[in-house]
Amino acid sequence: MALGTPARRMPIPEDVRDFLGDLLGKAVSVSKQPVSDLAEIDLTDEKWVTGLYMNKKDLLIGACIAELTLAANAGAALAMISQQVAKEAVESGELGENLRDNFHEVVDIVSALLNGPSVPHLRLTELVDGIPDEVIELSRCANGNKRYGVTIVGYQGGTLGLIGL
Amino acid sequence: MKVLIADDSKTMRMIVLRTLRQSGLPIDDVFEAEDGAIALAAVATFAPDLIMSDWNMPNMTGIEFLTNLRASGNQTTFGFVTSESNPAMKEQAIAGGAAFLITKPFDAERVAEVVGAVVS
Repeated sequence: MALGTPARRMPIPEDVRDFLGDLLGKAVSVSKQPVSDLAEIDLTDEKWVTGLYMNKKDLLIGACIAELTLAANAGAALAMISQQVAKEAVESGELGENLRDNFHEVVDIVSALLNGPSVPHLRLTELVDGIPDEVIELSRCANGNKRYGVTIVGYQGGTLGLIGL
Repeated sequence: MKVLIADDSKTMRMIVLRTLRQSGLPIDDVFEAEDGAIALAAVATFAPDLIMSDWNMPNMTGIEFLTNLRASGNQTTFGFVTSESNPAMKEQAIAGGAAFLITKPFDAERVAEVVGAVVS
């Protein structure tokens, strides 16, 4: 980050709760979770999805990571798809096209939580399975790195992580 | 009221329509377009009373859609519904002839307030 550039403001749990509640049209509760090194996550055992946020020069400057359970259920809740469909996706270990498109939309809109008038603008460029190595590296040097426990009424939830330079 | 909704996300088109209906605005007919080019081509035949468009879309962006629409002489009420929003975008939208810019996420109350103010 260039000298003199203000630090990116990371949302507090209440910001995330209100934002997701408005987006999903459902009551959402959000709690603060401890931040651990992403490299410690066993990706063969735990399924995650990552949205890559780039700047205007297509450099990775942020990410939104989510447990598959949260991604599937948020994707379902967005379009009022039954919780059973999300459950089946989680059991299969893949989001599937429909829930993936929906969660892509969620992650795209969530980028607004990290943007502001005085910090480098970031935008979603891609939603990928797992947590890429470059995101793990980014999380170690980013001044913004937060985890949230998210639950959605009528659906299951999971961990959401926001990372931003 | 006839509404044209342009968004490359099928889910967002559905959510925009659902929110419009929840807002209490009288929606009689809807045309959904997955990009600006399809939307622009549909305007002549569908003749909407209101256009709600995403900003970032493939083939033709929302602002290109608006620019082309106004260049053709069409003055249909046009608003943006977008996840990205900054003062420069708002200036560009208004200068191009947009009536409003709503940032996602939004709710029925917000849509009723903003859209209700510009449609009869």
